Amino acid sequence: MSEYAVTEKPAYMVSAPITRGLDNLGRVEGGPVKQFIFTYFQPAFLLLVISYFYYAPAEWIKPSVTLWIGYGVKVMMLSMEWISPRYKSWQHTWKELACDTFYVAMGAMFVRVVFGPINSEAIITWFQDTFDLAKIAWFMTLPLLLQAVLISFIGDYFQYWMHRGMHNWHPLWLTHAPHHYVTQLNVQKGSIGNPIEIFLIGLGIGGLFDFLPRAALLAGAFGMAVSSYQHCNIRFNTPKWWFKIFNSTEHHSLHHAQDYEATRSNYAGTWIFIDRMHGTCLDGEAELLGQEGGRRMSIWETMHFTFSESYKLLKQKWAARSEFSRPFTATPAE
Amino acid sequence: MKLSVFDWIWCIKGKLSIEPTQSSSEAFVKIESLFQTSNTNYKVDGETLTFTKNNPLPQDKMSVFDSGVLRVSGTMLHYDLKSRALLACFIAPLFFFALGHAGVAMDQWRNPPEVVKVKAEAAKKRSLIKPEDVPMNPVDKALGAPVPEKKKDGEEIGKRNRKPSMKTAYTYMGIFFALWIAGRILEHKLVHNLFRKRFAGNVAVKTSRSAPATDLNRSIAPQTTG
Repeated sequence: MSEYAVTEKPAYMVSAPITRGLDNLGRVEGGPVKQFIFTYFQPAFLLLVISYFYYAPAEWIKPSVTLWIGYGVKVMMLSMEWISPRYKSWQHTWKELACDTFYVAMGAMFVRVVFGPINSEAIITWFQDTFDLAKIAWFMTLPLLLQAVLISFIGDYFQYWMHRGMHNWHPLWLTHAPHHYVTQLNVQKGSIGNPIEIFLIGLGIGGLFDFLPRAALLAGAFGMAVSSYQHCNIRFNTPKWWFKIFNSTEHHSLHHAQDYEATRSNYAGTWIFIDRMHGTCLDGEAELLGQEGGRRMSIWETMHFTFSESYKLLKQKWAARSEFSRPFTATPAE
Repeated sequence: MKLSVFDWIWCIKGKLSIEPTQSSSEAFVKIESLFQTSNTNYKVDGETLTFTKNNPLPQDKMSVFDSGVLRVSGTMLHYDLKSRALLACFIAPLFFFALGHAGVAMDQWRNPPEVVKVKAEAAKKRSLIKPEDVPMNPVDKALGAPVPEKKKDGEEIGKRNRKPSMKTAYTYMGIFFALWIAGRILEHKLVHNLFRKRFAGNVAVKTSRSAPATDLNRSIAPQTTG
């Protein structure tokens, strides 16, 4: 008689319901006007934003203006969450809004200041000073839209590997884990995380090439009109072709699912095509979100988790090592 | 000085009338389901219901409150609810004021005038190619994209000033103060209406805003791509 060794899954490998594939996704509820708006909004908005940054005169795209455009888009998406919510269980509350805003403020006032000397801008400057990047200045003669797609794609490709690394290497996972304790998605949820993670995920080399400033803004437009939907409680009738190229709430909800296997997919921020290239794309959606079966992590725990868990891990390792190196002492039998 | 002078910042107190025929135990039965949710402990002792919540889920209808006391007195329900979130939101402007000053001080320490001068000189040398000197791509010409202009004094497109400033701190201080005012009014109104509806008996018994879908049929639908 043969015997089988049954290995139990570790506790963190939770299984939970998810929707697989693109054929069973939820649809927008409501009258024909609402249906029309929320069916064509995503491609129309992308086209609008790209056209704006492509054709607008210089004074319309100066930083003081684009800052307000960014705020306006955020407010618009928050309103859309109320008009066409994806799930009622993800509905925004005052407390969630206040907590999310706290993380946004920390990103702007703490992460940007503390990590300023080693952020992507500093890294790019170092590259420009060290290497003769004038040799690749031909990049600036490419069509604006191609430059923009390349800047966005290269940046996202770097972020893809950083993000994938965070899910596959424990020290990096300890920085990223707090972000996976959200139990619902809303527009500002992308800012939730330990400051170390927010710094790491913000690193990018998209701007390594010398590029036209307008091309950089166009690359940012992809972020505004595509990756903003990642953490969003808006139900769209997203066209099938969009799912093949761009990231969506559907894809990112699977990445945040309670289901462990689903979280190991959809790492890209803007171009889901990168996940398709590397075989990590999973189509579908999930409503039940969060690690440990949907435990919410408080702001305080989010701030110390990376450090306290690292300390605990190191302590365990040191204890195991000293246990191993301790000389063997025989215990006399009774 | 008594703490009750300030506790209106984080405490929500109120009362609402209930049916005169209801005893306290009958009254609590109507709202008990609100406390039968995860991370919540509650106890009914005669005319008083006390509860505590430990990091409740956002899906909890009373997630903003951490503890509270509900008391039935005659035909009135009195509630006294405490919210650490409201208190934190009230204090947040002070925190961001301090953080703003710390950021500005750190920036000044890192970038004294001599360093700023050296950095500006290095940046001048670094900008090897100016956008206006690059021949426009024929595709962009055909599509009618604006011709890059020579850099004028003032803001440069695509370059946002990321230097720490108190302006950012004041903005967030204002946002959090506005959030506190909104939360203090809104949460009082919401919880009052929640209790009122429960006592009116026109609400289906639910413990959360909406039960998340757990439809297994949807989860085992065939995967079409991937």
